[in-house]
Amino acid sequence: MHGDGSILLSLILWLPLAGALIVGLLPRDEAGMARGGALAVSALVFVLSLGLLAGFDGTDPRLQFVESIPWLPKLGIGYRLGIDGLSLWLVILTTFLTPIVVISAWTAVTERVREYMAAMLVLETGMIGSLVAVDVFLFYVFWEVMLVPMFLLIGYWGGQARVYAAVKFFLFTLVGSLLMLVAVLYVYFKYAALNGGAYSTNLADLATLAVGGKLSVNEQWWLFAAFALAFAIKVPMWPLHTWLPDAHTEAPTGGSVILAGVLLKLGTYGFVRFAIPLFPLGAAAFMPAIAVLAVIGIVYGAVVALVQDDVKRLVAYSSVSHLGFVMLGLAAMSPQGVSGAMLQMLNHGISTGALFLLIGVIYERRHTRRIADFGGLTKIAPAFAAVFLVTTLSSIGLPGLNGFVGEFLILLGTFLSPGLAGAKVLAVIAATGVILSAAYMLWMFQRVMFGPVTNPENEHMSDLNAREWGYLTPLLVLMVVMGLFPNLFLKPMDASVHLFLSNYRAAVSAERAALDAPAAVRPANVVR
Amino acid sequence: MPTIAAAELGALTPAILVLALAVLVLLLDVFAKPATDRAYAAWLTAVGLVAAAVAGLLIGDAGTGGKPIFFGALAVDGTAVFTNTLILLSAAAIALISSPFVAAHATPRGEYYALLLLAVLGALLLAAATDLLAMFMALETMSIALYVLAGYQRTNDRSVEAALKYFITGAFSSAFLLYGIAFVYGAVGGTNYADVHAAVADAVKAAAQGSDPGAIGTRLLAAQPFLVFGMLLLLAGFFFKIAAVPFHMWAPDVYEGSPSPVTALMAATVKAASVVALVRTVVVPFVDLQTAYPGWGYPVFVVAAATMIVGNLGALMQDNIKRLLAYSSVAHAGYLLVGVLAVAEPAGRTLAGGVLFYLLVYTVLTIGTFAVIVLFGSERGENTSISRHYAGLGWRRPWLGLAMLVFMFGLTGMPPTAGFFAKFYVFAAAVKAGYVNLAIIGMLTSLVSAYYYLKVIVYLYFREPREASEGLESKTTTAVALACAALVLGLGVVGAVYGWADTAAGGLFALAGVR
Repeated sequence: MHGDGSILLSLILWLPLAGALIVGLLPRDEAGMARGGALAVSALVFVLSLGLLAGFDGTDPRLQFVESIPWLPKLGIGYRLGIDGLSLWLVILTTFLTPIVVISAWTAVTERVREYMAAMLVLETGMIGSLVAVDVFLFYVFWEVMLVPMFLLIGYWGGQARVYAAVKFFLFTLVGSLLMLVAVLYVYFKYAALNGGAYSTNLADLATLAVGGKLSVNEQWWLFAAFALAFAIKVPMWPLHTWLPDAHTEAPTGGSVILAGVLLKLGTYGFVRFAIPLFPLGAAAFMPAIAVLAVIGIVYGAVVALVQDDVKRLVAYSSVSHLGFVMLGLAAMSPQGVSGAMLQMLNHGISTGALFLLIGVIYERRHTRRIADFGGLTKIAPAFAAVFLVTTLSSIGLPGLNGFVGEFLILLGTFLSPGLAGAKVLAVIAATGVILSAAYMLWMFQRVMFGPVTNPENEHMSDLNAREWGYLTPLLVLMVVMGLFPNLFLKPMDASVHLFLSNYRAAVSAERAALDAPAAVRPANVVR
Repeated sequence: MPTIAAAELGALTPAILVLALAVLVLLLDVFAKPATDRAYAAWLTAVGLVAAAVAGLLIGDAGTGGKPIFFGALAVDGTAVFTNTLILLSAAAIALISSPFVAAHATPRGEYYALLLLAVLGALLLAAATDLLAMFMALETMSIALYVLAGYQRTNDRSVEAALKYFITGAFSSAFLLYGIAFVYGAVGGTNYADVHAAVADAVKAAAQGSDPGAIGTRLLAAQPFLVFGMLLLLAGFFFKIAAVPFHMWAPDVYEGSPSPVTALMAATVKAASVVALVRTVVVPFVDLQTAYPGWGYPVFVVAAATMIVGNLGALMQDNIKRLLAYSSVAHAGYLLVGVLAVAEPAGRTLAGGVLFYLLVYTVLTIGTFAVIVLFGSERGENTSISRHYAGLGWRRPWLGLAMLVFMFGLTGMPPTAGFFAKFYVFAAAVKAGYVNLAIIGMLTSLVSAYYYLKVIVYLYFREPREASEGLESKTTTAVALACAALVLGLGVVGAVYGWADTAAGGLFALAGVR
């Protein structure tokens, strides 16, 4: 396999943490050094992650750049890393957004810069770790590690109600993870019991339990439920989304960008990497419910976004809607649906990340996010308005920009879904979400940008400066490139997506065959 | 006439050293001039305890093979060596963090350290005892020294109240234990754990002879009511000591009133010794009962669940950091009981190292936290209100704040702190032993605990300072706090530590001939 024996993943994983330690030990009043150091480290990590792209073989569906060292050998726990088509782009998205976030905080964060940058870098290690870990235990460690820096980022550098938002974020996410841990323990001992007492937390080992009746349908149902709860909270799926508007709104700009750009994707990624491959029969049982919740999320998020008077809150609810699309694509379990979902994760990271950055730009100037405080900004800051327009259109899903391809594939995939009951109706309802998104985004754009300048305080607002152009341009370029050449991004995923789907189908059809077999030879655990 | 071999004395070297040290500290205090600064006593105690720990590690079981020595009174096996090292090192750390406290709040006298050493002596023997009477005497040695230490601030009403409460509940607990010992002795005809195990095995065998296997429990109870009743009383006595629900009422008041380093001793060292003694006294000798009649674990099951729930809910509304930690200590007793119950099951026995590892991690967390509490106090008082005294302190005392952050996340059980690994091992044993329900209760109550541990962090970092006091300065105590924080980050990640705990627990059931 490609890149095996390379320590590139480890480098990408641990460099940010090392950087955080160095930045954290800088003298207190050297804010400039802290900014520069964090930028240098995160930029280096991004460059290294391009090495992954260069060395990645898009035709190989299996894990690449695998590293495997025993960690707690007695318990079968290993330091196992690897990436495939499902995680490649998300890793790069993470390393890409982190330097952008660091630059965006250049003048926005003036208090305790050193600590802010250190927290951001620790967060990067946590995110990358969650994406590259292919050992369930290791994944869990990184998954939880992410909570701490994000809690601190929201709680110290956030807005008015930051403490409430930070604690809510922390507790909500922890609820799911803890039950997931119990499920991990259950599978872990089940594996040992079926394999002569050999313990393992290797994802590949545990996934062997998925087929052949080793885990009964009933067990898979419960285990999937425990995993799905953890991931659904992170996504967040309706009705578990209530932490998100608070966390998004109160977080500092950088925190919001990372939350929207990467953290939410870890929820959907968790389904693809862990919950579905480990418990396909449980997943099959839950898919209709997930699809319905996803569609409710799409419409609910959009409708609630319509009535927000705070730009940041509006974008937060739009995330609920967009992530609903991703979950719908996954629930469809068709090639187009899953590819679309994977692509839409990236699109959302780029567009919503950019939206939060732009809101950060005006917040830094005006210290308000209320739609009513603005109006007529096109006249005062034309460049800002133009960039905002492109980003808005990308978020709506205008053909030619990135959002369109993902949403289209998801709707198509849902329409063609082989197993989903009422798929066509769901696709039609979900499509209204696209229309609603145009409504809330454009209405917001109109109120903020057009019309007369109603608020005299806005008259002296400066337009984008060179630094802001610097970090917004790459995002704008990506919006266009991903919109025009989606295959560049879809191709490396294809093989892994197909393997993922064929594993799932094999498990489900084996189960069907067992059910169709005569009752006498039916394994007892299949029938409840 | 039986004699005591030299090896048997050799195995007790750490305890003998601690006793000699206690006498030395007392004598030096008598001959020192009244004006002398007693800081030397703290260092002498700490260095002596570390030396005893090193000696204990080097000597190990001194060739006794972990078998009972002194006519079956004690066994210096892997578990004893592990626990003794933990007790000695934790007490050394407590001696060091006592120094600024004793200087600021109490009459600086050498007997503080002598009493500390005597409590440690009791704890050492308690963790090694394999005889009901030896266990009881060790427990009393430890407890009586602690009663005095709890009231060491003679002029402080709270401290005196704490001492009285601790003494009265302690007397209750002793009465339970003695009553239990009497019943077991009556049923067995001996106080040695080996005798108890043999009697339990016989009773189980006799009860198993019958047509109806389901009625073993009933027949056992009918044939040996005193044995079972005695066991329950022993359990209750230990539940008092480790502050398990419903025997936990004393903990908040005593923890709050006692001098902070003494509270650390109660929460960490004493709990470690008591939990090990609980396993040795009740779980191991009565293990056959468990195999034949799984229902016996039911009381422990209920107590463990209630302890986790009550402890965590009780801590939610506390503003006093010491009261908060008292409830948190109750909660952790619950998690430990989950581990103890799992160890009692044949399936969970291979993961017995989890309990020892948990004790190690919890001890480090507790001592570190109390080191910070001592330093956050002032010359005038202990400054224990989270909302008033701790607001904004994280930024003013960056290193201590960071250490406290690590401890709070460690107590919550967040990875990558050792607190997570400790909970993982204990709950893993529970799931393996079939107690998925207890593991789920443990997880959900951990979630509750996240709220109050986070509250400490919220005040340390997210709130503006309200009081001018920045706390005490002490390089040694700061070093202890930082060392504990480093351990909390490292103990779990380094697999070898769990490996040691696992090996140490290997011989636990040797006495009962099970493994």
